[in-house]
Amino acid sequence: FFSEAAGDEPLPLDDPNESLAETPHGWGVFPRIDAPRHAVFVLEEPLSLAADARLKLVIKHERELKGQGAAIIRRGRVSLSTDPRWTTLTTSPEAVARLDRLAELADERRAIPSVRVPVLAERDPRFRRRTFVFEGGNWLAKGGAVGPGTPASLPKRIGLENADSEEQEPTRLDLARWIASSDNPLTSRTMVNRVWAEMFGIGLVETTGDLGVSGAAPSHPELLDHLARRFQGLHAWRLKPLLREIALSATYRQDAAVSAELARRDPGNRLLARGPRQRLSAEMIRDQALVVSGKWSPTMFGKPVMPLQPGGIWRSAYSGAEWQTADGGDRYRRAVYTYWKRTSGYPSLLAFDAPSREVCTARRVATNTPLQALVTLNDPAYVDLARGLGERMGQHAAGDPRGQIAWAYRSAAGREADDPALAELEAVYHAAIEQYASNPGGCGEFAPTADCFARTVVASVLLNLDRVLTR
Amino acid sequence: MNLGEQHAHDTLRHVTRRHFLSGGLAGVGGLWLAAGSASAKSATIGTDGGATSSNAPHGAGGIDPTRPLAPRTPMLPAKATRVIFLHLAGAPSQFELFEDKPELTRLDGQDCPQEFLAGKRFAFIQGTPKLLGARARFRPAGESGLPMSDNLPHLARMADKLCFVRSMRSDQFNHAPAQLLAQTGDPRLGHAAIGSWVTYGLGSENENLPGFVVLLSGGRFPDAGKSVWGSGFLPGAYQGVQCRSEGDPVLFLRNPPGVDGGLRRRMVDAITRINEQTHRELGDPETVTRIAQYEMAARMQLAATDAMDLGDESRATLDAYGAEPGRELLANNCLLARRLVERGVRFVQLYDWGWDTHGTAEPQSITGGFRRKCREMDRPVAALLADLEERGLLDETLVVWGGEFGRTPMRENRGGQEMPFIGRDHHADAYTVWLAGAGVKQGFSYGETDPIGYRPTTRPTEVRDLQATLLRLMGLDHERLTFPSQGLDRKLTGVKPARVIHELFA
Repeated sequence: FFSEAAGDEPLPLDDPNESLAETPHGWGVFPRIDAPRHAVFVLEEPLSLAADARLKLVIKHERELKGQGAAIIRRGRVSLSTDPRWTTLTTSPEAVARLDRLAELADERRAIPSVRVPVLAERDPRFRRRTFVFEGGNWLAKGGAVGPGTPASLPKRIGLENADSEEQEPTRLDLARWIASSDNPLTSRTMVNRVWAEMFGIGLVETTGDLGVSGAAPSHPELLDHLARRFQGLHAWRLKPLLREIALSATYRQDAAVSAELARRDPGNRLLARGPRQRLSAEMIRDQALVVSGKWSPTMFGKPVMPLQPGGIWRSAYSGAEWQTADGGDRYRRAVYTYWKRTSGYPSLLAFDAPSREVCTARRVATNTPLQALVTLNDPAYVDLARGLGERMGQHAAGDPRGQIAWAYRSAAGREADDPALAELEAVYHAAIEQYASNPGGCGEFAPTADCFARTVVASVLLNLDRVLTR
Repeated sequence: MNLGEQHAHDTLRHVTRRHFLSGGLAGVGGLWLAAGSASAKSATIGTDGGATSSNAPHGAGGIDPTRPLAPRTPMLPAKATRVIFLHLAGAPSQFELFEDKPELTRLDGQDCPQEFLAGKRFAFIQGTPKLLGARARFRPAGESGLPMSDNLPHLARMADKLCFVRSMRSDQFNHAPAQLLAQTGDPRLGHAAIGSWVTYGLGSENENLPGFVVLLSGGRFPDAGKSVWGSGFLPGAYQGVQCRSEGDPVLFLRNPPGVDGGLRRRMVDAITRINEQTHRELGDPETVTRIAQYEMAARMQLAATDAMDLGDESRATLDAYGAEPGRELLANNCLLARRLVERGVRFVQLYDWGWDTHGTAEPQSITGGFRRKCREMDRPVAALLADLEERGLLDETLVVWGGEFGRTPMRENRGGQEMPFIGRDHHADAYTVWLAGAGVKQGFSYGETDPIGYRPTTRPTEVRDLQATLLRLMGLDHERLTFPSQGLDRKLTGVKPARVIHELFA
C-alpha cells in the first residue's frame, strides 16, 4: 500500500522502511527521544477519495522496550499531502541516481575492515541538543536556553582571533584553541602543577583541582610560571621532557631525611628544603606488590579483570552481578585493570584513598589508618603476593635464610638492608619456623613446608614496611 | 576579641579550611608523640583548648589526617554523643505502621481525586488509582496515646519513648537518589554520608574500632550501593566501614591461615622496630604515625572481633532481640549496634533491605511480605530501645528510624491495571520518621498531614531540616561543618536553607 517511508534521522537506528514490513523494527523515536519527530509515508498510488469519505489510519506500536519508559507516541498529528512530488520521492531519475550512489558508497564502506569505535563529532546544527540552565540543579526545572561559550570571568577571545566572526557560534575546535592558546597560562600551569604534585606529593599550588580564586596561592609562583612557560614552549606540551626536568633537578634529588627542627617548621615540605617522601597511592601499592611477588601479569589493554576479593562484597539490589575471581594471569594484572563499580569499589584500593570515581577527583588526601594495615597484612590478595615473594626468595641463596631475606629486602625496598633490620627479619623467620613445627596442619595450603611458611611470613612483613609503602 | 585576635583567628580558619592536609601535617607525629598514646583524648590543636577549640574541626589544625578519628570537642553543647540510624531501605508504608487515617479508610476503593494527580509523577502509578485505606488496625499506645498499628506490638510498648516527625517530604521518588538524599544530602553520587560528616566533625571515642560502622540485613545492599556510606569528597578515613555477619566482621580482620596471635605480634613488633629505625634515619613524622596505625590495627583485630561476637550475650538478651548469632538478621544488627555504641563507636548505620512493597507479588504485598518484615523489625527495635535505656545509654545515644520516602495513600496500579496483591507506590510528598533517645522529646509528635496522608498540612519538613537537626543534637552546626570541594564549601545540608527543628528537643 505504501511504497516508501522516510524518517527525519540521518543515521536511524532502524531503516524506516522496515515500518512497512511485518517486523517490530522501523521508524521510531530513537536516538532522539526528547524532540518532536516526523516521518513521511508515501503511497504506492495516489488515493482519490469522495468528498465525504472517511480515512482510517492504523498505527501499530509493537516494539517492546524494557524499563519504565515505553517509547510510544504521546502526542501525534497526521497530515495529508496532495503534492505530486512526494510520489516521485524515490522514483525520479535524480533520486534513483542518489540512491544508487548511496548503495555504492555503502558497499565500499562495508569493504573497509574496521572496528566500532565511537568518535566524538560536532552534530549537524539541526540535531543539536538545546542546553538549558537547570534551576537549582533540577533537570526538570529548565531555565533559559544557553549557547556555547567560555566563562564570562575569563578573557574571551584568546585563541579565537581566527574565528570567522564574532557572531558565529564557537565550536569545540574553538574551545580547544582557547584552552591551548599560548596566551592562556592556566592550562600549562594546571598541568605542570599536577605533574609536580605527582612527584612531590603536594603541588606548588596545593589545591590541584582549583587554581582559581577559591584555590590556594602558589608557594613558588615564579617557579610555577617558569615551568609552565617551558612546558608550553620549549617542551611543546610533551610530558617526558617536563618530568625529566623535574626529576633531574637538584630540588627533587635532595635527601628526604629531615631534622626534627625542620619537620616542625615546615611539616608539609612547602619550602622544598628536603627531598619528597610520600606514601604510595592505592594503585601503586598493589602494583608494587605484584611486581615483587613475581606474579605480575604485564598484559596490557582489554577488559577489566577481577582479582581476589572476599565474598559478599557485591550484593546489588535488583542485579545478579557477581564477582568471579579471574583465573591465571588475569588475577595479577595491574590495579588499573581492576573491575570497578562505583557503588561497590574494590575494597583494598578504597582503603588506601582511591576515590570511588563518582566525581572527578583532582587530588587525593592520603590518610594513614589501621584499616590500611589490615589490608596489607591480611587481605588474601596480599597474602597471595607475599607467598609469591616468598617463593622467589626460595630461588635465591639456597639454604641461607639471611641471604634470602637480604635479597627480598632489596627487591621490596630498593635498597640494602642494614644489620638490625636483617636481624629482626631473621628472628621473625625463626619464629615462623617454630610456629609451623608446633602446628603444621594449621598453615594448610598456605605453605607446604616450614621454610615456605617462614619465607611467606617474612615477605608479608616486608610488604608492610614504611620504606616499602613509601617512596 | 580584639582586632589582632580576630585577624589571627580568621587567618587560622582560612588556613585550615583551604589546607586540610598542610594544617594536618603540622600535627603528624609530633603531636602524636606529645599525646603519647593512641587513645589520648586531646591530640589535636583544636581540642587542646586553643583559641579555636569551640570551632573544631574548623579550628587551626583541627584535624590531624594521620589520626583522623581522634575525638574532637563539638562546636556546640551536644545532647547526643552517638547515633544509631536505622534506614529501612525500600521505604516502609507509614499507613500500616504509624499513620492512623480514618478518612482514608472511609474512602477505601474510591478513585483518587484528580486534584492530587494533576501534574504529578509516580514511579509506577498511571491513570487514576484507587485510594487504599490502612490494611492494619490502630490503637493508641502508652500514656502519650500515639497511634501504633497492630504490625508493631512490641514497639507500641515503647511509644512513649518515640519522637515522630510526620511531615517529612523528599523531592526524589526513586530509591537510589532518595536514599542518597536521605543519607548524603544530595540525590547525586559523590557526596558524603551523614555518618562521615559526624565522624569528620567529632572523631570517635574508640580509635580501636571504626568510627562509622555500617551493618546490613535483608540480603541486599541499599539500591544506591556503598555510596550511601561513602565519604564522597571527605577524606577516605571517614567512609563507613561495613561490618559483616559472615566472614571477617571487618574486612581483612582475620590473620592469614597459620599465623596465630603470637606470630602476628612478632610480625608487628618487627615492623615497628624496623620502622623506628627508618624514622631515626629519615625523621619523617608519617613513619611514627604508621607505627601507631599498625599497633592500632592489632588492637582492632581484638576489639572488633570482640565487639562483633554475640557469644557473650545472655540467652535472655538474645531472646529479647530475637537474635540468632551467625545469621544475617536485623535483630543481630540491632544488638550489635548496642554493643558498638557501648564501646564508643560514634555512628552506627543499619540498613535493612526489603521494604519496597508495590504489591507485584506476595512478598511485596502489604498484607503479606510487609507483615513478615514488620515482625522481623518490631521486636529487635523495641528491644534495642529498652536495652539502651536499661544500660543508661539512651541518654547519650540518638536512635533514628526511617525510610527514604513514604508510600502512596493510593493502591498501586502498575500499567494502569489492578494488581493481584495489595501494594503502595513510592510517595515522596509525605512520610514519617521517628527519633528516640538523647536530646529529643518523648511520646511526641511533630507535623501533620491531610486526612488522607497525601501531603503535610503543617510544618513540612525537608530532608535537610532533619539532617540539620541530627547534626545539632550531636553538637554540630550544619552551617559551619564544611569541607572545601570543587570551589564550594560543602555542607551536608546543601545550599538551600535548612532549619534545625528545635521543637523536637527535650
